[in-house]
Amino acid sequence: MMTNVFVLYALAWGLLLVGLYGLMSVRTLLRIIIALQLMAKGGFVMLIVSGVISGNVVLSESLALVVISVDTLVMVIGLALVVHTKQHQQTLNVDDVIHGGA
Amino acid sequence: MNTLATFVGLPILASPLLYIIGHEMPLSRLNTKNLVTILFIVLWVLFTRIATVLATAQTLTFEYAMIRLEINSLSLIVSGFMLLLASLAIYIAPMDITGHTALDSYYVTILVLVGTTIGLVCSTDLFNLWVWFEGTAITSYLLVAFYKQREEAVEASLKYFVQTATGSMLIVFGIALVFLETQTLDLSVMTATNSPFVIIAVALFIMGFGVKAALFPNWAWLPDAYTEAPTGVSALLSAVVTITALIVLVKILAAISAMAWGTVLLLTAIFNITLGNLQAIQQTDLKRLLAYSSICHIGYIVFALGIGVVTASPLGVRAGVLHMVAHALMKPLGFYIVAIFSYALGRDNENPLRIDDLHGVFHHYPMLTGTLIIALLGLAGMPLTIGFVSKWQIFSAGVQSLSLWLIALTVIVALNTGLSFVYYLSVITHTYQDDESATWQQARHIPMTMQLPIYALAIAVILLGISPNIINWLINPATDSLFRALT
Repeated sequence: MMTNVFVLYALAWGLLLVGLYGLMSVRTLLRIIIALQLMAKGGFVMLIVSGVISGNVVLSESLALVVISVDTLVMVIGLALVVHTKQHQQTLNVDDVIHGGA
Repeated sequence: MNTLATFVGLPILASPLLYIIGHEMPLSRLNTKNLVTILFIVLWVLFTRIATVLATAQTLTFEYAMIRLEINSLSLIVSGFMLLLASLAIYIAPMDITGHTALDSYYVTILVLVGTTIGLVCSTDLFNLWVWFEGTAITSYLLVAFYKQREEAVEASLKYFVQTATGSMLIVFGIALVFLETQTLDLSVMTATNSPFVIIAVALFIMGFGVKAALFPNWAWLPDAYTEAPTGVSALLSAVVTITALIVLVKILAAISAMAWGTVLLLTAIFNITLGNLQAIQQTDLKRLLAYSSICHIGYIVFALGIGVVTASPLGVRAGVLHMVAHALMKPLGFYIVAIFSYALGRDNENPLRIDDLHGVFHHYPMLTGTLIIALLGLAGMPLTIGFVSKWQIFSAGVQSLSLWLIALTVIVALNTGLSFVYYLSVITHTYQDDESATWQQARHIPMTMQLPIYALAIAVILLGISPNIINWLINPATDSLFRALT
């Protein structure tokens, strides 16, 4: 049981860090969304791990479900923006979309 | 029915209904704007009821299943400003957004933003906070991308989306770590510790909420978003929503961590103020200048709260609360004046109002230019405006700490205030110049109904600058509740 929890714990950190690395390295909007999704998965795996360790699995699983639904909502908005960009600018590359800069 | 629950839930639950009734079933007079106006009146009534309850009681709570809400004097101030500025954004909207077909969705999205922001500031449960935070984030993306025909607006919204979504994922991870350590999510029963999990969580929260609050490394989204959003939304975001994220951040840090995170806040504030000022000096677009000045003013508020936390004295906290109020009056005033002048010249975000365009505006609109000057002098911190009073309190809190490095940081901040005069005063001198680059003669007539709220805000800025004690009944309890949460 405890080894399983440790695997999950490592998985959560792994997903978060892979997502962060992805955010920093990819230049395509769709892949940025995928990287964000990986980070979200890391977050709710971590919620379940903390529930298992603190012996409150029911609460942590319900929190994870809320994270999944809210996160889906956020990503739908993000994808809508990405689709809009693709339709109007015919590109998904961040370097082409962002003109001028800060 | 519980007043607080209605106050928070009504705008969120009613907004889709109002949109369907107003947009899909257009009756003669029952359009979305009128419906939303009626709902705002209801919200103001609820607000007054809550305010009367809070005059005697310290807090008003609501608890149902996992949802916990608690309103105190500080959240009451924030909710009040949220309602005030949202009402203004809806009242003045048609001027900024003339002929736009999507106005109905603008009204209802603002309604949801009002509900979620009030929920965010009233929430005491860590996970609830995250859900409210996502609510404000989603509505902000939609409002920033309102002019969706413009590539720049969608780009600004995308920037905002990627940064805030990254932040919120970090927050989820941080919440999981805190849950792992403390085994509770209720901020009021949490004990502050120094375990490695909490240290990581503190870092994740500072990065995550720091995006929304525009703290030092994470404010790249802000200038674009405020420039591209409709002006009423820029005013709302800068005066209330970023400040709410900041309040929530310090509340969480105080509850979970026993580390010296006040120092982090102080250093962040120095970077915010200095870099914001240096960027603002280079701007030629008025709305963008106000956006960079927002970064700078968030820095002042963080600095004040940081002093309060580091020295454990209510002086700094009080200065921070007062500066929140001051900023929430002055910055919307600036944004609305820019909106009115843009309207007069027929400008939009495609062709924004530049500082050069102000040449000679004083001769055509002396009163309105006067309010612009009041707003800019207030933001700079000139005496006789509330901006001076709050900055003075920040500096005096810093000096009274009697610790050498805090005084040194205060001196840096004070020098920065001098630096900020450069760009505020240069805008003011432009209003007097005689060579009229813009055609102010052919400017559109500005209806009096649009001007009145501007004058009211300007009078408030001056009146509170002359006698700041008249809002002590508002500031003191708010300071107490924030100070209690921080120590």
